[in-house]
Amino acid sequence: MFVVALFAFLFYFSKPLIGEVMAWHWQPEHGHYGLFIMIIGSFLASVLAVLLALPISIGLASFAVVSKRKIVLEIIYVMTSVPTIVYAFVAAIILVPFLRSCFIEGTGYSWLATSLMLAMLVLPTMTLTIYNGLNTRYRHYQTTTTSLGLTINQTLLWVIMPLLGKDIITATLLGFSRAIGDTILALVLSGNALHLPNALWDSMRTMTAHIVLITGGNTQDIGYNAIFIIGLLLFVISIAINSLLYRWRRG
Amino acid sequence: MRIFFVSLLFFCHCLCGSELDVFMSHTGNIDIAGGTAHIPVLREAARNVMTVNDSIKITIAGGGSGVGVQKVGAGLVDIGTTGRELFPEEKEKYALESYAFAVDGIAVVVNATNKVRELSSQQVRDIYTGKIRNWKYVGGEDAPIHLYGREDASATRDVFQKALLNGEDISGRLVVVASNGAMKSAVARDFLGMGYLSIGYVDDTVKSITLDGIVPSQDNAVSGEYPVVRKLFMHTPKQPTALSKAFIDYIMSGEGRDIIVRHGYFPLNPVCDLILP
Repeated sequence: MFVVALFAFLFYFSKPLIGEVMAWHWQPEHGHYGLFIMIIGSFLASVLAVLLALPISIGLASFAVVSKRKIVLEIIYVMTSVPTIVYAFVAAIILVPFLRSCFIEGTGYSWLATSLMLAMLVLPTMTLTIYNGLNTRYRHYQTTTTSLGLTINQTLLWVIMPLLGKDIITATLLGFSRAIGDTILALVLSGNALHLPNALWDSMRTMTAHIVLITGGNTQDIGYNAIFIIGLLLFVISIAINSLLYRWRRG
Repeated sequence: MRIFFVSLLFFCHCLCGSELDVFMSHTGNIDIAGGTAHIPVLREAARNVMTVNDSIKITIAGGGSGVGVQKVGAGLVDIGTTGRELFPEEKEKYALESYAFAVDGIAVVVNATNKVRELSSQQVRDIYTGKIRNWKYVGGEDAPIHLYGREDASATRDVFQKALLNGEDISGRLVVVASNGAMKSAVARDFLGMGYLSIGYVDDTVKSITLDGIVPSQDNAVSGEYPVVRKLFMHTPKQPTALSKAFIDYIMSGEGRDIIVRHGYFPLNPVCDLILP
């Protein structure tokens, strides 16, 4: 019920602007309210983050399963509780100047910086999801494969991994929906430039950071309603991903 | 004759110089929010008041000029500050009293290690519209220019664009930061950085650029020679609290003037201007 109310609220305030936002240029002073750049920016940041995090989370989950030590899992759990703002300012102080010295064209506030930290953010969640699937199956098949003479690596690689398809996709979707909704990392690290990034080291803007940047503005201006449209979009994306996951795990 | 004038001066200085006493009889809170250019001055004034009477609590928040107007208009803060006049829509929507208390210049700044010291306004315009992208075209090293700017709601940005950009479009490469403080940090940390900053924030970590041969100093801002200037305002609801009014009067007083001058701005103060030298 609450969800429906929220949706209705967002929809109502978005209405004045709906036709206008499917455009490239965001220039409120000229009457342009295009959000394409921000939408694509969010997708670019989140997709890259998930691509970076996925192999690491598979490796980490495998390590956790094989090592039999509780501490590995505990560390991963703890990582899920780090506030994103901490990631943001640590990255701003360390990662950004480093990237700036590597890629002199860019200011360091870039697509890469954003995605790297987003990957760190979604890594624990993805790892835990894959770990759960991996652990169950590993325990199941372990005695059989060992008795057949397979090493641990062979077991993992050839027997278990192929069965993990569902879990990997679940982890990917979860990571993606977490990454696309994150505001602070994008606001601090992406540079908030109003264009599509020409390269990994170039600046860009995400939907979430855009909301923050408009928030201080003129509430009377129709551009302010763009906040609600972005809210609506994020809402719809989250719901779509979650209901997809729900249906799938059922079936 | 001279004794008369000296005692008149003395009297006026006394009038204007012991403003803090009036706060002894007040108590309560003042919440202030808005433009970041005002913060250094307001913070020192608040500290003076709170030292004299610790039952008064004054909080000062940033957020930018847009946020300042919204908050004071909605009654969330007692004083909202902006680096610009109110827009007509804002005047219509909110019933506010406005007090201009200082003149602030906006300087173009580069990193302290940058050898470029002066630029023409045409060059600044070309850099910000993306036509010039490398420092070598303006007398610096052969390296790309890292451009920084402010968010849409910023009055600092508004004034800068109106003065220097002639309505042309800003380059898409601009990295957006959200306050004067953030701008200063960004340019101070980036060797190839360039941005614009309220003069009161300029310190040794950044260098202000001489624009068309005019140094962005306090005197030039007031005399009108330096073109990129704006007034700093405080806004209150039509019926401000007594404490807010007392604070505003303090800022406008002689002591307030001293604080303003000390932070690199020029005070606007009609009353004392007539009497004090």
